[in-house]
Amino acid sequence: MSDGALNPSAELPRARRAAVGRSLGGAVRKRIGANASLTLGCVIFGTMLLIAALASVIAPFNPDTQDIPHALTAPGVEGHLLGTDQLGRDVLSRLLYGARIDIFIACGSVLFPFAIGLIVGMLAGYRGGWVDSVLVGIIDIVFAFPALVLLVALVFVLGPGIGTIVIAITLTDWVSYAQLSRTSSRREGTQEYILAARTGGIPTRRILFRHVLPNIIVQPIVLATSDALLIIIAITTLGFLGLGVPPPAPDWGTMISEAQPYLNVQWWLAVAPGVAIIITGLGLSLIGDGLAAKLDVR
Amino acid sequence: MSEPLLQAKDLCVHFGGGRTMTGRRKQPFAALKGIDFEINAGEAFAIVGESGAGKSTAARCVIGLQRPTRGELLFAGEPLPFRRDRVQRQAIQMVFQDPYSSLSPRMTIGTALDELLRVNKICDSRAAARKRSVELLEMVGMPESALDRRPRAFSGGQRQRIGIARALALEPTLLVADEPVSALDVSIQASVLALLKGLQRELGLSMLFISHDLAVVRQLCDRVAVMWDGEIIETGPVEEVLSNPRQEFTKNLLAASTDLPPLEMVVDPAAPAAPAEPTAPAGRADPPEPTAPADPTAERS
Repeated sequence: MSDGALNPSAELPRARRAAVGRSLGGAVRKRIGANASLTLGCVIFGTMLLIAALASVIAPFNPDTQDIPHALTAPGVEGHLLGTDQLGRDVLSRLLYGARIDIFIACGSVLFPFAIGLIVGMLAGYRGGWVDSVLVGIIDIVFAFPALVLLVALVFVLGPGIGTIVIAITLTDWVSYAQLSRTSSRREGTQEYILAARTGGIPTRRILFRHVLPNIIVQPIVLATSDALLIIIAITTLGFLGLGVPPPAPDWGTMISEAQPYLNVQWWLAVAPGVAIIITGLGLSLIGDGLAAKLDVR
Repeated sequence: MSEPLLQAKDLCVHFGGGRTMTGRRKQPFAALKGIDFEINAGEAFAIVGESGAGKSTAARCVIGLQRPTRGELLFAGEPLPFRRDRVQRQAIQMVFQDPYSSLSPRMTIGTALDELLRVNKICDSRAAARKRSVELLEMVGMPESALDRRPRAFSGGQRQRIGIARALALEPTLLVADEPVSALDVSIQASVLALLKGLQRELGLSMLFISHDLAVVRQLCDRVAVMWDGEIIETGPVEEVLSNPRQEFTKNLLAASTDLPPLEMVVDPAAPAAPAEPTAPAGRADPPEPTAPADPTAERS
C-alpha cells in the first residue's frame, strides 16, 4: 500500500479534475466552483498551519509528559479533551504538536521532489535525444525499485530523523514529477509557439522557464497536493518500522500505529489523528482542484 | 543576374536512421532527396506539392529547425549552418501554419514581443520595445490594445496577423511562410494573404511560401517549385509552370485545385461572395472575423 502511496498514479489528479469540470454546469458556476474550492481549501489548510504555528500556545498539556497512572483515560476526564494514550500523554496536545511536524515534513517532502522532478522532466522532454535517454534511464531505475525498500534503506544509512525522512522521500519521489513533466514538456516542445521562440533566438533556459514551464505546471501542482497527504501516510509506515519520526516527538502516523492495540476499547486514539489527516488532505485536495481550474487560463 | 539570396544545394533530410537495439540498421525515411533551389532578393518563391511531399521539411531546413542530413544552404553567398549566429537567425524568420498553437498561450502579446525584441537587442528598454511593438501591430492592422491580451482573446485571422508581426519583429530579409492560411477560415484567407503580399512588396522582403493551393501561389508568387515525394520535379516562373505544365503530376495538381477569382475581387467587400468549392452548400456565408474577443469558455466544453 505504501509502495503505491509513494508513487501515485499520474492519472489520478487528472481524472479528478475532469470529474470536477463535468459535475459543474456552465461557465459561471464553474468559475465560482473553482474559486470556492480554492478558498475553502486555503481556509482549511491555513487553519492547520495556524494550529501548527500556535501549538505551544493552544495545547493544554506538554505533549511529551508521561503520566502512566492516568493512561488511557476517556475523553473529557481531568481536562484531557481527547483522553490520554497508553503512556498517559494528552492526545489533543500531541495532535496539535503533530500538525507542526507532519505539515513540515509533508511540505519539505513535496517541495524538493517537485522542484527537482520538474526541472529534470522538462530538460528530458524538451531536449530529447541522448539527454532524454540518460534521464529516462535514471528515472526508470528509481521507479523499478520498490519505493518503500529504497526509503527504508536510505533511512537506515542516514539514520532516523526528520531531515532524513525529507531527504529519503525526495530521492525516491522526484521521479513521479519528472515523468509527469517530461511527458507534457515533450508535447509542448513540438508546439509551434516553442518553435517560434527557438527561431526567434530565445535562449534555451528562458524557453524552458518562461514558455514551457507555465504550460506544464498545473498537473505537477495537482499531483503535489495529493502527494503531500500520501507522504504523511508514508511516514506512518516508516514509524511502524521504527524508522519514522523519532519518539517522543508526536506525529499523526505514529499515533495511529501506537493506538492499534486499543482499537476495540479506546477507538478515539486512532480516530483523532485519522480525522486530522483527513481534514488536512481535504484542504490540500481542494487547493489542488482550485489551483488547477484557476491556472488553466488557456 | 546578381547572386541569389538563398541557395539550397542537394538538400537531403532522412528521418529515423541509426540502429535498432539489436544492432540492425533501421531503414531511414527520406523526406528530402536532394533538392536544389534558389530564391532571389525581393522575390516570392513558392514550393507546392501534396502533403508529405517534403515542402515543410524544406522550410524547416531553411529556418533552422531541421538539420539537413546532406547538402548545404547558402545565404547571400555565405554558408548557412544549422547552428546560426544572431545575424543569420534574424535574417530568416517564419510565419507558422497553425495560429492556434503558434502563440504562447500564457503570455500577453506585449510580453511575447517585448521578450523577442529585447533578447535580440533590437530594443534596449521596455518602453522602446512597447513602441516598436505598437508599430509592428499597426503594420498588420492590429490595434495597440492587443498588447495586453493573451492569444485566446483573438480569432484565427487576428492571431495569424500577430504571428506575422512577430516574424517581422526581427527585421528579416527572408520570410518563410509555411501554409500560413491553411488553418484559417476561407473568408479570412484572402485578407491575410493580401496583407502578406503587401508587406512583402512594401518592405522588399524575399519570401519562401509553402502551399498546396495553386490558386494562392498564382496570386502571390513569382516563381514556383513543384515537389513530389521529396524531390523537385518542376520549377520556373509561376505563369509558365501553371499555364504550361511539363510534368504529368503538375497537371494533375492543377486539375485538382479550385479556381479562385483574383485576389482583388475577394478582398473587395462589394463584390459577391467568392464561389466556393462546388461541393459547398450554396449561400453558406462565413461570419466575418469577430472584433470582440470570443467567449474563452465557449471552446472548452
